[in-house]
Amino acid sequence: MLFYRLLKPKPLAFVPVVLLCLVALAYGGQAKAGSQAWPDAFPKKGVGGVPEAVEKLTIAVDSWGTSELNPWALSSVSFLGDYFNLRLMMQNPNGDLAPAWATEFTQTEEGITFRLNPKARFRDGTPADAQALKLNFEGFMGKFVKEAGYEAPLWSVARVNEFIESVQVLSPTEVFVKTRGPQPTFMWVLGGNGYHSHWYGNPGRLLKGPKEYLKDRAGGGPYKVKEWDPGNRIVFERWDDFWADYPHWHMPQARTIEILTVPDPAARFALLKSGQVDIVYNLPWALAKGLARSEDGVRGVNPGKRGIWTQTYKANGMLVLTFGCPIQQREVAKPPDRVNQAGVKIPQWSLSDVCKDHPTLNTRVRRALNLAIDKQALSKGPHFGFSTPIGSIFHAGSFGARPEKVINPSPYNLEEARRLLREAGYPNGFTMVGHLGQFAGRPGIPETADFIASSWEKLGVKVTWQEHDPSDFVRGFRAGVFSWVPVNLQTWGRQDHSGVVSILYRSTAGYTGVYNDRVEELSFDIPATFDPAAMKRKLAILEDEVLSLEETFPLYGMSLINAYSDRVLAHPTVEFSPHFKHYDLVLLRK
Amino acid sequence: MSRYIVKRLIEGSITLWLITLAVFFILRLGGGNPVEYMLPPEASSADIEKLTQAYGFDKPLIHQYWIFNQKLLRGDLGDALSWDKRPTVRVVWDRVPATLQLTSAAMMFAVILGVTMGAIAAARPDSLFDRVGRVVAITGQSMPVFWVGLLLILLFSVYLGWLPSAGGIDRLGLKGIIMPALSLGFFLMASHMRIVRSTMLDVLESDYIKLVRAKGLPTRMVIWKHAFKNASIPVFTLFFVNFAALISGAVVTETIFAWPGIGRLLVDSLILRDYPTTQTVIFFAASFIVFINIVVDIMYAWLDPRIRME
Repeated sequence: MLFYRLLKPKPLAFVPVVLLCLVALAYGGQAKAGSQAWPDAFPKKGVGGVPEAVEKLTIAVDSWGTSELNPWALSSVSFLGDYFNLRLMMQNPNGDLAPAWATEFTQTEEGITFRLNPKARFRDGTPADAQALKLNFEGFMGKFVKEAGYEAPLWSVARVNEFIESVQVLSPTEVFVKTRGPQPTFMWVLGGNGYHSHWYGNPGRLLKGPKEYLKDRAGGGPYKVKEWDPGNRIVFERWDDFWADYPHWHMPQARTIEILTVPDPAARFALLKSGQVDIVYNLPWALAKGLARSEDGVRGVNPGKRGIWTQTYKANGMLVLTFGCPIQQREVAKPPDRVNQAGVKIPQWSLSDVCKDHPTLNTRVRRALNLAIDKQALSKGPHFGFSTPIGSIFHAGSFGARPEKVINPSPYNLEEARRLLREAGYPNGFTMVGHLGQFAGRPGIPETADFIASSWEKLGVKVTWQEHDPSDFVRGFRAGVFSWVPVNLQTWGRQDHSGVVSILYRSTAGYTGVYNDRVEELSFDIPATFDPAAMKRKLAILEDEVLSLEETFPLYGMSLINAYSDRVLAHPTVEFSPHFKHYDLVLLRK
Repeated sequence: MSRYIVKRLIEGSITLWLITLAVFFILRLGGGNPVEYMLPPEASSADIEKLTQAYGFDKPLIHQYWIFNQKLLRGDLGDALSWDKRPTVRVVWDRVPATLQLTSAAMMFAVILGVTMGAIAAARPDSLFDRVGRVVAITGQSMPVFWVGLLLILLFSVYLGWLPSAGGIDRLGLKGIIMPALSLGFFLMASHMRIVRSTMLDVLESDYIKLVRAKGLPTRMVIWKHAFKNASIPVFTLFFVNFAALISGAVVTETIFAWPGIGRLLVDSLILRDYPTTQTVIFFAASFIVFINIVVDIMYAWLDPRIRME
């Protein structure tokens, strides 16, 4: 349970408290769409023959993000920090907001106050106190780059500075972060909840500089880094004096966790089949389809069929079909040298030749192309039932996603599609080139492109898909190359708060979704309040506006599959996640 | 001879410097700002700008190259953008042992088996051994390395459970190198076998071999003491060329077996747009190839006095 305390006795000060309770309930309500079986239906270590400790857990993954461990200098996202560094809050396996380094927080329009667990400490014995938290925030803000000898700051330094104005220590276990206006997505970006991209390390080590930090990180998490071969292998060794004793975060069972990167999926599966690893992360759907699914019983618990079993992370990302020519046509009509509400220059584009008279400028054509895609058949066929057709631009189970939108994809109607194309003046179809990126951890994209190509052929529309390296693809949007092509398949990684996703619908977002002036305005309005009811209303309006343009069509939410050997008794983890989590909670039989 | 060696060393140094120039500009002119590739999609334009300035990618290209050359003269090839920001030389050097282990094991398998089979096949042309050998050679050159690797994993790891299949020697011990070496070596064995057979057949037709046979020497001595020495020059060349090529990256094998070598490092660095690490890997590989070529040229001169005289 979270406890909220008033900072000052003002008459209306009770309002944020109530609102925060509503946030917790709303978020918890969203996440509780999945299993509520944890912890009751799960085995426990030391009980019923489950060993209190085991020697080793070995996991094969396709990727763990960037191969960097310094939380103040990450050049991109990394998933390893959970095991040896701290998060402020976290998700428990039911998806509820749960304490970690901070036991509670209160948020107002001025800022956030964190109350830290007084038992928290780092492995070298130094207290993980308010001063340590302050130094971490300042490290994220880039304040120590020169003096501590860092070549470059954290990749999100500008964004962190947009969130935080200053940090103040109130007591040894209390910190006040003065935010730049209301920042409702703070916890989802910086706090450790949901898709988190910031970890809190030992500032005593971090301030010694990146080279010294590599020698001994002395973090505050349940493990320490024993062996580190960047890009290949990491071995964590349990910290036997780990201070936390929450049900969702405590001394792990496994004394060591070894994580290997094995890029080839067949090779990963072979490791599992031959018993060389206990868990494989991101097993291809084609391999997973014949395996026992824990969801048939208690999700995350070994179904007891004496073989490999699986657990699925749902909605780890989504795929949408976007048509770029209409946005281009809108944008070129506007005056040059515009800036948005944040004062950032809006890119100015000229109308490309390919978009000048393109068929997809016509709404009926776009609608027809969408109607011609049978999303249920796509999911059941090439995706073996592991994707979920969606009708929302927000991820299933995220704050702001409306269940009635999520579970209702747009219909399939080939005859209507043909009629619309005839009306639009293209009875025999046309040809075009589409673009997509093949992202690690986002299965099913090339199969979707093939499926769409064969679906559109029935209308006489011939699309040639060009596949790009994901970095090329994202960069292509930033450079204005792919934003303005007739059609592309865009993918977004999961965000548990749709306020973060809404920013992608800004003209200056870089890897951007479709937008018009109204969408742009809403994307600034949404984070201007943290009243959850108001935010949900605004998110709904933004989504309706985006979908009404009929320039972006959500296709499906992806899933990622963890596969386990029979040695694994249970892996309590969330139903929705963008990447692996909670490996410290895995229970093994020996 | 010493003048020849010095000349080759100077030529090699110039070649290496030209390679650094080419790699530096090709990576940057073709790819744009690496920071735009490195950062995740949700990074803002302000983040991109800050990181670009921090890494110096906003400076003119010529200025960046000048800084690179200054560092190069000090033996500093820069720090990695990923890989914990370690010096790139260290990042690459950490992978060298794994690559050398795999390459050496694969070459040993290829040479011992390939040369032996090729020599015996040449000594017994059109025999059953020769025919089987030729089928094995064609199979080895036709089957993709990744396919061989996966088949080996299926048989020896999954079905028989005899051998481990992922990670390097440090993690698995010597058992861990068997399958990757076989997978990589199978293709090389085939090429060695065919070239040895072909050159041996030519040599075995020459007059001096006929004389040696006429003198009554046993076949074993005819082949290994007299014929093989002359047939070995192209084999040497092939050996060193293959060795040099493998050092720069047995990418497919390393990917299938999660082998922590330079090939995987190169691919991962390119994907991450880690230009300093990419440059260093290529510089290292180029250095090795240049060095090997110099060694081969010197060995040719030593083996064949006519070259020395020239």
